[in-house]
Amino acid sequence: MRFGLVHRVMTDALAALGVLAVVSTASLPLWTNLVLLAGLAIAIAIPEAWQSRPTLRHFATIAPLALFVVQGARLLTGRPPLDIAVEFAALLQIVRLATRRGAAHDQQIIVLALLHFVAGTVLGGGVTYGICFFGFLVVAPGALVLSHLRREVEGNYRQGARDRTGLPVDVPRILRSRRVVGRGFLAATCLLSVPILLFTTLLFVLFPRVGLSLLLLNHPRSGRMVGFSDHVDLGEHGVLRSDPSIALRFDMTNLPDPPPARITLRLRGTAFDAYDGRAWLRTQSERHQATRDGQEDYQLLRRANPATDRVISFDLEPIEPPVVFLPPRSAAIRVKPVSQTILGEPLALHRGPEGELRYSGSDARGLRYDIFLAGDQEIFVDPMSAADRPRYLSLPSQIPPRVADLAHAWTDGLATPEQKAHSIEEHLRTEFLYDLGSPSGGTPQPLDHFLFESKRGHCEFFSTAMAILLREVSIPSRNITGFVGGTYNRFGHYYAVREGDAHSWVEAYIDDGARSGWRAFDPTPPSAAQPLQQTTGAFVYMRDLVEALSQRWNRYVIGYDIRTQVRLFDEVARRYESLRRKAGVDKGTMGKVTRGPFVAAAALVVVFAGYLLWKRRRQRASAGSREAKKPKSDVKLETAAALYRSLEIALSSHGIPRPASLPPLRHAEDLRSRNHPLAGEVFSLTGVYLETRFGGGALTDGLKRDFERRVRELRAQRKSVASAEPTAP
Amino acid sequence: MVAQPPAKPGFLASVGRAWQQLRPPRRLKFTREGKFFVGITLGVGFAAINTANNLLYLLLGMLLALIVVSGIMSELSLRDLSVVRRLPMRAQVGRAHLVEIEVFNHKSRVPSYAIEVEDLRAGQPADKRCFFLKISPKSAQVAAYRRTPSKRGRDVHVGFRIATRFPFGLFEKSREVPAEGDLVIYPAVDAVQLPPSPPGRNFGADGTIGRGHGEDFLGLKLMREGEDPRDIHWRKTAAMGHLVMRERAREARPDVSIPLDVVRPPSANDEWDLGFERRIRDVASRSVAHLKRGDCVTVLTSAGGAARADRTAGADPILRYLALLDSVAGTASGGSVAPPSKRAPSAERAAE
Repeated sequence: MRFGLVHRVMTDALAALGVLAVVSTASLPLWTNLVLLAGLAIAIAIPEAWQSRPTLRHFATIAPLALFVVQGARLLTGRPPLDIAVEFAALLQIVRLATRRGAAHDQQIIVLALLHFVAGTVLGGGVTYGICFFGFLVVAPGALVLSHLRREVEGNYRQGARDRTGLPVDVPRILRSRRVVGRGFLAATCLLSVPILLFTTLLFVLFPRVGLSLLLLNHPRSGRMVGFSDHVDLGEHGVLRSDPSIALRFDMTNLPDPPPARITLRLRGTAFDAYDGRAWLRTQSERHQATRDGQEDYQLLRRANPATDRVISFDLEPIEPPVVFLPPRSAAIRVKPVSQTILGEPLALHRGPEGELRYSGSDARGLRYDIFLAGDQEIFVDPMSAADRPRYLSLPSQIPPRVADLAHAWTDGLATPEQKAHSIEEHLRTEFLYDLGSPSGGTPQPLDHFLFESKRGHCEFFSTAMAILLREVSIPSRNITGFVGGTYNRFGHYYAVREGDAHSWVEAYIDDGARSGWRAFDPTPPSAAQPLQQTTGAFVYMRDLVEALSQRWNRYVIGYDIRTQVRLFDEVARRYESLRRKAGVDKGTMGKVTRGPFVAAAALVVVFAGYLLWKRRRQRASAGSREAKKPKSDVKLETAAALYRSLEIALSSHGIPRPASLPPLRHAEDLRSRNHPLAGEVFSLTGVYLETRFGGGALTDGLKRDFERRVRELRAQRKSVASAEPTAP
Repeated sequence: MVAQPPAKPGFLASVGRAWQQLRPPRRLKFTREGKFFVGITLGVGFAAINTANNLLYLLLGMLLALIVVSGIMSELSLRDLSVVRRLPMRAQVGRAHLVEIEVFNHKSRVPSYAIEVEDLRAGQPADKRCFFLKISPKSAQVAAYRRTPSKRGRDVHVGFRIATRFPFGLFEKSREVPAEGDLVIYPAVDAVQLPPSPPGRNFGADGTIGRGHGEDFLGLKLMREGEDPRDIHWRKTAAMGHLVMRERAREARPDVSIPLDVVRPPSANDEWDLGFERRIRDVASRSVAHLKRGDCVTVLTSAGGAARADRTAGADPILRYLALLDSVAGTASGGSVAPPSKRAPSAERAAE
């Protein structure tokens, strides 16, 4: 594999993961996402040869400045700063990818990708971010290594350099080389992700979660969800109906096996008591903290009874306003705070008007809570004061009289309010059609148009019609918004309620003596009130898989907090204690010795001692190998070396010393090539030395004496020459 | 007087020695990219602690893991390498020479990447380095650096500094290994225009006539037993009826003596030192020029030292002598004392 190609591919992958991570978490408009992805694909596809063209070089200079100006102008026009910043970061990466030249640009790309991931964490980081993050873990080591190597290559091998064979050593040649990066190298760098992941997980689990909130970098809440604010217009609900985003998940106990694919659980969100002819409003606004029953428990109807109450666990996505959705007969609630910061506002529940429940606090990632359901036999009386009754009976002035006539036509002759309510509910269910595209929403009198003209509408029309018709016959009523769901996820083992499952129904106050209270009526045709999501098929399979992954990610990664951490450590301690008990070492002296801190300290000591031992063994082994490399003392070899040293002294006296960097034979050959008069003799003596020192030749006494004699003669030649020379003063 | 007991080694010293034992002989320093990386890591850590955002903790874990992996990988790359230096036979001031560096990777499986070897010289900055992109397991790579000495004398190489910024370029980890080696830097030699040889010098004009084995003929003589028959003058032999031989003149090249003042006056300053170096350079240049012409050259110093060379021995003895020559401190009376520097050769050695 060519070094340059592998490097390019890995850098591209890293950059793409960074852009995907930031784009997927930023909730940008669809067209913006498409433009960014198309730009990313084009930038990656641009051949490397084009990147040195003058056009692209000019583009590399101008484009970031132009982008800066354009995004700045868009910011001034009122676009959200976060969107502007995310788009700018992604576009900057695309420009750099398209125009990169050399290792410095590649390193800029890597730094930008890293910053994209940092931004992704702040922006939210759903499961898409998680997938990108794991991709980043796999690709980043290789990309970083190759980028560094390329930088080293560019810094050290400049144009014109040549290797020993005379071939040019330059950057293009190395980038084309297949010897630098092999399969083993790629596998090793990718496998580096395993220890990195392990270390990351270890640190993630062990690092204390102590959010100080010194700097506000909280996760932004999701967009406002229609239907749960203080004002609901007729005609808006139809948009929500087709939205597949998950609003909440719930998990029920005592389900049959296999669990039903679809379940209809009515989850009450908020209620409205006033209708002005076009929209539902709330006349009351006071809120007070819900009755606390312990650290995390709140009373709704009574205290929780975990032994007998059926429990439904909810995992609510962050929505605005932060409404808590409750199933019918919710007796108590237990919240499970996640991601709580130490200095942040603590999580709390507040009761609002019309039985609404909201949460507040520093929890920015939705709410997890358990609902304790009251049994069917339990009776709860909810009396209505005389002062409250008029607001549940008030009617807008512009309601045509024929609406009242219709109410009376459907209810006259019936004895009890409950019968009247059921009659209205039944008429609406059977005589009207469910239609998301009802024309009634655009008329001045939408209710009148729905009841007498179109006879088609979505749940909001049905609930509004029933509430008004009930008020026409003096039955207090209010409009309720919430969800009806959901669909079973086979991977996550929960029911998903989507924003498309949003629904509207009616609560009527039925005066029934000891059983007086608000009762729910749903006038929407039953087929339309069901969750609309499919439950079978390949798409659903994949959707369930992704959603389950997303839930796990949110619960175990995003939602990991100090409480979970403490619980985890408690669990470890508990299991350790259990192990001690099973092993019978929890009493007496052994009980003291095997206590957790003692064992941890002992483990540290063992590790430290192991390190010292390993280091000492390594030092000994290294010393041993050095000793082994040393030639053993041999008299013959020593003598041969001594003889050659005497020859070297003689050579020095002749002014032809052997340089330290030159082997004896090469020195003798060198003298011969220079036709030195002593070259023959020196070559002969060197041959004798090499033969005895390295060639295994015998060094007899005769040979030794002969060698010494010849060396003496060499020195004598020097003296005879010197005696003929003028002496130094 | 009461004898003091020997001082016990201090506790701090013991701790220091223990720490030295534990501490791997490595040096670590940040690169520019490493400083940025650590800055980003600290920023992410601060943000994570501040916000308790788990994704920031995840990112922090990854960044710290990269630092840890970087340390391990660089150690693997740096470990089990041996370096050998190959110095040239001779080097001269002002002329570039190559020094070969060979690095052998003794590891059996793991290659070493991005290895930089600096050749350390005593008392000089480590400005020369060789880069090895990849050294495969159980194999060696050779690179060379070019150096142009600016000062004569003995260049003492003391070891190598082996460094790597592998794998991510965040830190530079290095270790030093001792490897001694000497290279004598000859003084610079300039081209010198010598005056023409005196006429008839080869025939003894210099007063050095005598029989010998030179190239020139001295006369004729009758051949005696054992003499080289190649010198028989056949024409005369034919004329006389006896074997007549050419008698060769002794090699009569002049032994040029070049004096050099090495005594440093007590009042000498840096200017004198510069002049001394110029004189050495001049002597070296003239010596080489004479040797090229075929003259024998003897350099005589004012401190009593001498060095001699002829055409067959080459200029090495004189250049080496001049390379290691140092000034001798003079006394107020005009004499000289022992050389102040270890670099100066002894009188006997200089006379060799």
